[in-house]
Amino acid sequence: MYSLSWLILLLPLTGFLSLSWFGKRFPKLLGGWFACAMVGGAFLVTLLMLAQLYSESPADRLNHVQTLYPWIVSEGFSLNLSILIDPLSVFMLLIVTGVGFLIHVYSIGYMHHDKEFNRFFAYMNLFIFAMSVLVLAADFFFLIVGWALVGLASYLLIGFWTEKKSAVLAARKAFVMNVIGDVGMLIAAFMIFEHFGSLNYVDVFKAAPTAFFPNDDSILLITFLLLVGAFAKSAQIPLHTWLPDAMEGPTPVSALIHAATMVTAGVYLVARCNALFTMAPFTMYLIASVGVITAIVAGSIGMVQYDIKRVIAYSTMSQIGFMFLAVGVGVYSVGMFHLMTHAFFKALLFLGAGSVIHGMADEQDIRKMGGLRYAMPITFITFLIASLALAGFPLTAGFFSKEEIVMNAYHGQYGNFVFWGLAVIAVGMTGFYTFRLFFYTFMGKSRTPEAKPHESPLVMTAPLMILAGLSLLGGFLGPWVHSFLSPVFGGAVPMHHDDAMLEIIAVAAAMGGIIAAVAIYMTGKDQLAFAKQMLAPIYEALYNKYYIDEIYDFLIVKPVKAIGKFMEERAEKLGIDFSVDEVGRQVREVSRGISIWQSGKVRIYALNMVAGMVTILLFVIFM
Amino acid sequence: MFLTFLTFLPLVGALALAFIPKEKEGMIKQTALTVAIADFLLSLQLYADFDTTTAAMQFTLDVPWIEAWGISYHVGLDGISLLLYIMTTMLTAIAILASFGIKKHVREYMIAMLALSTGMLGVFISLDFFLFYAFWEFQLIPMYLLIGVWGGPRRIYAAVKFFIYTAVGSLLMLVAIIWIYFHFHKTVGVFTTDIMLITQQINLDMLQQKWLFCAFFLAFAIKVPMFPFHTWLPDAHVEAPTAGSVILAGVLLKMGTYGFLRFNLPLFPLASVEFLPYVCSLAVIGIVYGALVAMMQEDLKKLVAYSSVSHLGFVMLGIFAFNHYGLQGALLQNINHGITSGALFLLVGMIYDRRHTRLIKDFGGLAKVIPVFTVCFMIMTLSSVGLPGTNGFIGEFLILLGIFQNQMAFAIIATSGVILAACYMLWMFQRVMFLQITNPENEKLTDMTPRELCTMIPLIIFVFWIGFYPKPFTKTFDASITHLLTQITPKDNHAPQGHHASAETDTKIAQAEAGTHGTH
Repeated sequence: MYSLSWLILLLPLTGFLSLSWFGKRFPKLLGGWFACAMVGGAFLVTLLMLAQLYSESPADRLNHVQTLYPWIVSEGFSLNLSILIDPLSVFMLLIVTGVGFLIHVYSIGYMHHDKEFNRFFAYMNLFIFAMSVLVLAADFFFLIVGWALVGLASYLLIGFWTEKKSAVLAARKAFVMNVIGDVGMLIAAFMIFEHFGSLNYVDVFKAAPTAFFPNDDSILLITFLLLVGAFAKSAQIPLHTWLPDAMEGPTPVSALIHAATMVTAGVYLVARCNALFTMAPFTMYLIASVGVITAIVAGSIGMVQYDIKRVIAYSTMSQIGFMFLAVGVGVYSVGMFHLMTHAFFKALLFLGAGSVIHGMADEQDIRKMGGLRYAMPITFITFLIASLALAGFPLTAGFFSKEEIVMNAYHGQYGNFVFWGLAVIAVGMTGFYTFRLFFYTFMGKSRTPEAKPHESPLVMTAPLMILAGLSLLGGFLGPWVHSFLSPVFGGAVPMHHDDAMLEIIAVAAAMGGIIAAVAIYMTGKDQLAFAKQMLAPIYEALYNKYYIDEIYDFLIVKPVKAIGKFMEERAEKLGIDFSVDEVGRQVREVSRGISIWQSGKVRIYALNMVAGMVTILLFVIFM
Repeated sequence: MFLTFLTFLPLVGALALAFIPKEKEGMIKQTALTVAIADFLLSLQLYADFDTTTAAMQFTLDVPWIEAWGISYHVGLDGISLLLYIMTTMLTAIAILASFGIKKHVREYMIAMLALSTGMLGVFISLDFFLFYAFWEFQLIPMYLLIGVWGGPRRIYAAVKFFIYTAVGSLLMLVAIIWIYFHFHKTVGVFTTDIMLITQQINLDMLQQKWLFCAFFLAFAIKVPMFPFHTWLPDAHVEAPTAGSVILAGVLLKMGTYGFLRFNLPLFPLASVEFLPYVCSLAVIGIVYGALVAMMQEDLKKLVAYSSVSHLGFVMLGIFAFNHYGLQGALLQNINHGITSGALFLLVGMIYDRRHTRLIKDFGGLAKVIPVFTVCFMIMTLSSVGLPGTNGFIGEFLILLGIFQNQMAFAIIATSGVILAACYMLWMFQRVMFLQITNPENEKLTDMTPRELCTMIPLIIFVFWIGFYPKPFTKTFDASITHLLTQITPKDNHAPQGHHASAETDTKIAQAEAGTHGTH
């Protein structure tokens, strides 16, 4: 049965290959539905795997490795092309293929007018394939393969509109930043190989508890390098600057890759390698710290941006920060739970934003929107549900997962008061930016009367409605998630802490954020202008994203270019190449000098003869 | 005998071309192509017959040539040279197919190409120093002509630079070979130039090894080319015709790395270990320096040329990792680089044929105009960057894995080359292929012709084949690598792993040791 899991890889790959080879010959809509069918098929197979796992006792659900063929056989080292089925990979795949399928369907409507419709779906299927490789990999080698392939799919899709300069630049930026992460993972894999003599998850994780002392130098280094990959892929500080720019791609791409699935791969990695990270408590503190700092920094930037997609992008960064906080304090399944609920409501937010952009004829500036609740009722309702879930409104999906994170930020194995306090502030920010966005877009009066917004077709709104249902009810899946994943994380971790005080404060923070947004944006602009004036320097810093892009440009991009220029103009042309030519020139000069003596001119021979005789004469006389 | 036949088949073809009237250009081209393709297809038989379980030379032929001096015609292939040999026949066929647009002196051009092929193939099969040196120098001449006659505006400068640079390097090697020749006679008592025999029985002390290593090093380092001996390469590439660049990048550079594997490591193991930090330093500098300089290039061909400097640095690093992974990666990356940079030069040549410029700023937005070309170009760009799923990744992964075990610091610096490669390749790709068309001349470009596609398809197949299933390629190396490692591993580290060659090796090491003591 488990061997059927190859279909999860094979179907999207088939979709990618056939659409890219015969894309032009496919009738337009057929290509799109074909791609959807491939992803839908993968989802069904994943469900089958889930059922299969359920037919076994929880302890037996681990380590079902399927091997296809040996990839490389080197001395004392062999790599098989193999995949790993266990609760964690199936759980992640359910999100990837399930949400992926909905977004594929939505894209049929969204990309309808695009000339290169089939190329888009080819890339989307490529992404699903790559993400499945990443998730299903049974060793670090194929993890890296999948890791880099999702980067490629992301590159192709961000830069899908190849004539749009900002998109092309953003695509390149994303790729390069992710290659930095890939290299970190690569070195981590080498170190793992050096210590364990294997790259297989099963071998490595089994040996990990006895191979190191906690906080050993080498385990710290390995986990740190893995984190470089994780942070680059998941857009955590300081490797985050590519994500907001990545919003230049088509909106379904933002929903699928830059919200629901790929950017959460870092969280998946930490959860997958929990056996390693458990041996490195220092690294755990680092994860939690980076997570919570990213949650705050990204949340604060999100509060002042005006591009609808960028606000959501910063929100994504911030929410992934929450996930890292969760895995960092040691409650892996809580992190995965938030990953799931986030996939629902964030995909929904992005798709809703896409619907808005679609209806507003490609307008993305929320200052030019407003009052859309009448023109786009379904989008309005679903967007509201997503916003409530994101802000953590009680009983929505986001409420449960975020509440567990905040609680564990204090009570978790590595939790403490500081993590908790910062998390609460970030929760407040979430409520604020979410509803600021919501009010700007849907409430009030339209600020561009000439725009003729319209509701999107059913093919786009149907996925919205399904995701809205999941965003409302997904929170109740929490206990199931924890029990299903517990074998992977070495048994159940106590999740529930009766600490009503902390809970009330967290909920109050979320509500406070929402109310602040309502107060400022519902009652008119004056308070806002006043606040902006009072806090002008802070506002400027936030609006300019803390100038991090500029700092990187100054510290890294410019120096590297300058060094390159120096190498090219000085070292290469004037240094090495010049000296090579100079050697040649000197040889020629010398030979020309010598050749004067052999020129055949009698005068010179006579002169030489005289000179020679004089020399001999002088020698004889004076010696 | 078969090997000799394959090696000289192109030369025979070249001779035959001389009898075709020069007006019949179509016939000349077809004959040359037929010979090259036949040579390639026949050479595949070598792969089929190759025994991957032994490190011994295969398909050997050893006939006395100049007996008085101990020179013989001794040829053969092992795991180190097999794939290089087949790649050479393949790239020759592709290069000839890519040169059908040549206008000037077609017959002479094709003769030069075929003669070049024999020269290169000869280098990889020679098991006799005299023969090796003869082929090594012989292939310079057709290459020199290809650049000097059919090249670009500064072709004379580039051709002379190429010729003198490589010739000077090989002269020192010649001196070293002659020294070895007499030394071998002095110590063993036989006048011979047989590489196998000399490698097995030569006794050299540390000082002698160091000097000889340096002489060979210079010849091969120029050929690779390693920093700082690389400046002939960009000039030669820029001026060479497309097919010349393909051969230059695909095969000629590999002779350098091949030389290290065939001569420097087994002949001078002590010196190799001694000089390891210096060689690795140069390799790493080459990786980073080549990448940085490539980033700043405005000419597409120069950019690819400098990327070669960077990539060949990886190969050198893999060789000097002195372990199985590193060597496996180095040998594989040798092939990969031949495929990828060969293809990149072909692609650059195609747009040069259409636009008569290679400056990046003259392009932009080509993706919309020539989609098939774009796909091919993208595949090769990603292969050059080393994306998983393409051939480049496997090679780099194994090399870095290997060097990481022994020289962690070098490995970490080298990885920055991976990042920089992504920077300069994607930046270039974006400026050439994406955004709006700025130059109206680019709007009317025609996409790849069937002939051009034929030159690309085999290379694309290998990119993915090696990328997804490298085992058929790597398995040809294994026995030879194991053997090579036993030749260079110092005795005290030599764990008894039951190699089939270990008995032979032990006697060799014993001999080497005796030699060392003897000279003190």
